[in-house]
Amino acid sequence: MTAFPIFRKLSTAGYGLYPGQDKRSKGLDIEFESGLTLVLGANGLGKTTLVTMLYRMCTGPYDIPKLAGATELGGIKLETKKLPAPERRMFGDRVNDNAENATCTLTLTLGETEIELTRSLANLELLELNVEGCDVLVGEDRYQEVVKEHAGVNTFGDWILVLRHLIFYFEDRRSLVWDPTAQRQLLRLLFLSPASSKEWLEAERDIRQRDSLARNLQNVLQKEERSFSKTEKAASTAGDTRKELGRLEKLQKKEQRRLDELRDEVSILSSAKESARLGALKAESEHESAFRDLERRQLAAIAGAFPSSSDTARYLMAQLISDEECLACGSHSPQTAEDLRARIGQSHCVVCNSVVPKASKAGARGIVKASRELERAGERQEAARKMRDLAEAELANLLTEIQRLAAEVAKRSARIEELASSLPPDEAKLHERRRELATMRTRLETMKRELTQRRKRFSRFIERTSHEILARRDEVQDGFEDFAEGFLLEQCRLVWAPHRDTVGQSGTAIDFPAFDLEMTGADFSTMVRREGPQQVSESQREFIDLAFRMALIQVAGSGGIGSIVIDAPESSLDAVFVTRAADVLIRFSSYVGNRLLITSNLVEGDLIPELIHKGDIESQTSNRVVDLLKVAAPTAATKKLKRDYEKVRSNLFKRAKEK
Amino acid sequence: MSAGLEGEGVAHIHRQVRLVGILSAAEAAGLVPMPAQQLHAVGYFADALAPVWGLRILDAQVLKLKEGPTSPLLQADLDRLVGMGVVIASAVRHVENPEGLWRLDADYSLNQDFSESILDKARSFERYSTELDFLREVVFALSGLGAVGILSAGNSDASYGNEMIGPQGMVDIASEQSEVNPTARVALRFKELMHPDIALSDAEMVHLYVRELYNRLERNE
Repeated sequence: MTAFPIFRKLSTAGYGLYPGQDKRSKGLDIEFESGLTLVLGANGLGKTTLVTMLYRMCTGPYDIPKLAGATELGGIKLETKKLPAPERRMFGDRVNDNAENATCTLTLTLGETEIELTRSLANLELLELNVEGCDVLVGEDRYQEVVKEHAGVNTFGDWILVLRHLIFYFEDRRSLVWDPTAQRQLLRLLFLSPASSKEWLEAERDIRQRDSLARNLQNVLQKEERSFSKTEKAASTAGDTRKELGRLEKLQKKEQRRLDELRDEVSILSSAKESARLGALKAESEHESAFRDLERRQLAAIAGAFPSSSDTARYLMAQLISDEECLACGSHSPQTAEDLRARIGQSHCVVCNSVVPKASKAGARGIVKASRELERAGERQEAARKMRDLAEAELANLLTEIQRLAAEVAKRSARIEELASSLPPDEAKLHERRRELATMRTRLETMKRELTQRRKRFSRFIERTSHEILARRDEVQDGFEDFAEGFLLEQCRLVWAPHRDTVGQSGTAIDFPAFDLEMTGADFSTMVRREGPQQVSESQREFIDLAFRMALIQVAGSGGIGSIVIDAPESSLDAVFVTRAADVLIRFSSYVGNRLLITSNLVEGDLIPELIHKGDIESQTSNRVVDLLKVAAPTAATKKLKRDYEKVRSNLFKRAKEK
Repeated sequence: MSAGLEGEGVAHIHRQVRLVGILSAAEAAGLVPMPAQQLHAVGYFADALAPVWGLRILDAQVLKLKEGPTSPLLQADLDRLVGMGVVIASAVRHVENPEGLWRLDADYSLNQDFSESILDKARSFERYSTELDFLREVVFALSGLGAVGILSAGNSDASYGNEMIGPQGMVDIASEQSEVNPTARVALRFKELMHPDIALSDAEMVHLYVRELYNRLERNE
């Protein structure tokens, strides 16, 4: 179990951006009660600064480089590094005294343990650390040890991953649902035993390092070979052997490089082929379903026309009408099928063309709709099959090309060695260097073989440990459906869909644990895999991701609880979805113990009134409201337009009461 | 799902012979008329275990569905056999599966008037004769699981039941990445585990594998 942070209290002292409500108060002072806390403000009052401050209190002056931003986690190293000095001074830069004497104190619990820490806002230095009421020797290392121990994570990097991917919902957030690399790291650290999680990290790191070493050696080798080629050219005598050797070596280098490139392409094309094959299988299955749906509707329509209930006769007729194929002789008979369809349309008997009682209008409409669906399914099937055949052919061509090139390279290598050994003695030095390069290439091959072995071992390890994660699959799926339910009009579910990926930049791909999203849509009658955020609307995207995070907190969290901090959620919502979004957020905050912190501008939308109403916030002075108009240093706009802002704020609370 | 070396027409005939072989063995085992889903399940196992006998896999990839292996290609061949009068369909009905997909359900049996000559002709070739023997062993072994057991056997199978593959995922029983699929690998493993003096036949390996399925089903119950 991972103990997610439960925020209890955040306060600042001496920080110019948050001078406090009146002369008596020293600054910002927030008590996070179980449920929703709402931070309201206007541009420039420090909403995002507040969220960032809460985050930096947890991370201290450390982070995983390149982790921020909306791109996929990919091959980012999950090791923490000290922030560059300008980033450590970010809170100081916002005030005129560089926050020299400003401090921030955060109280949080991890499981049963209460931790209180105070940092300088000038440079994030840890000033005080108190665990369960006892002062602890101050030091960033000590803080990180305390966090790892009580949160139940292996490394401080894992702690930061949890903060970035589950707890804090920044504006530049990365979608966890559509980032399989981030997902697998989260699933690892949340659901594996600490020992397995550690083994995973170390093996992955080892492979990446070896992959990088092999690539570096390959680059060095290529450079050396290029340089050798020039030296050889300069020193060459005009002998036939030399000319032949030079030509062959030049060609050999070119083809060796090409071979390396082609080998790297195998895993990419292999993944594309797998994906295309799955796409074709699904399209075939959907086409079969559409066909059978039409067939059953047509069977129902023609059932009355048969004097006997011969299944085979009806079966034959339905196939002829639906698929235009005569099962008796195998002929393609579109004209007959058309005639029979016309008879059904005119309420005539399909066998003798006599007038029969009319089929219901609803039945006829159903047949038309099912026909259209079959047509579309046929088109999708055709396209998916073409895609599959293309992907298979591309991979087959690539493998044939690799085989051909490898055979040629081996043959040429023997010929080069033969020619080189026949060179006169004054060329011995060159030959020696050639031998060195050959040794280097052998070393590279050995490294690559070792890397392949380690990748295989890691692949088996992942297969074994994935079962530990798989054991929690249903809980995650159910949790997701609980949170997502009501927000989306489409049917939506998480499906277990291991993600095939390489470790490092080459090698055989490994199936890593991951979830994918399936959803119905305007053009799909059944649920369809949505493989990227661009395949759903912006409103859907944000809340699908949020529901996934909430489900993971519920399933993996100690006591099933945690905190979520969301900066400005209203920006991605259209008006119609606001009420539904508020429901999802309130559902999370209503679990006893959970903390939900939302920041928002004073805007005229419905989200704030909905949250105030559903989050049981009674008035503007409630402890659950952090009013930055009162707490933060005013901006020129809030000074000049103070009354307007207050009016908007009052209106929001008034509208909440009317709900 | 590519046809491989065989042309599309020849591949159809091969698939249809396999279906006739399954139904013929099912008749001998007292399993006819055989419901469509059972037939699909047997067809799947005939593919998954084919490498044990050194035979060709016809449906290399199948979509994982909650109600077990279902192949649109097998169904299309079955439809053609019904049209040709080789197979008789009864109790034809349409059902919607848990994934919201429609499929045809019917009970199938052979029309002896046509099937006997097909089987006789097939038996005159060693390749097809071996295949028919293999199908008989698969059907006889699976018949021990009972009708319900055959339908749920996929969930316990080493390939189809692999929990790492979720619903709507692809079960690849002829992956280029591994020499043999997990189902056949388990069956072949029995040979390795035996005392060196005991030589397991291919048929015994199939039976032992299905017995293992039976044990897994019992444990799951």
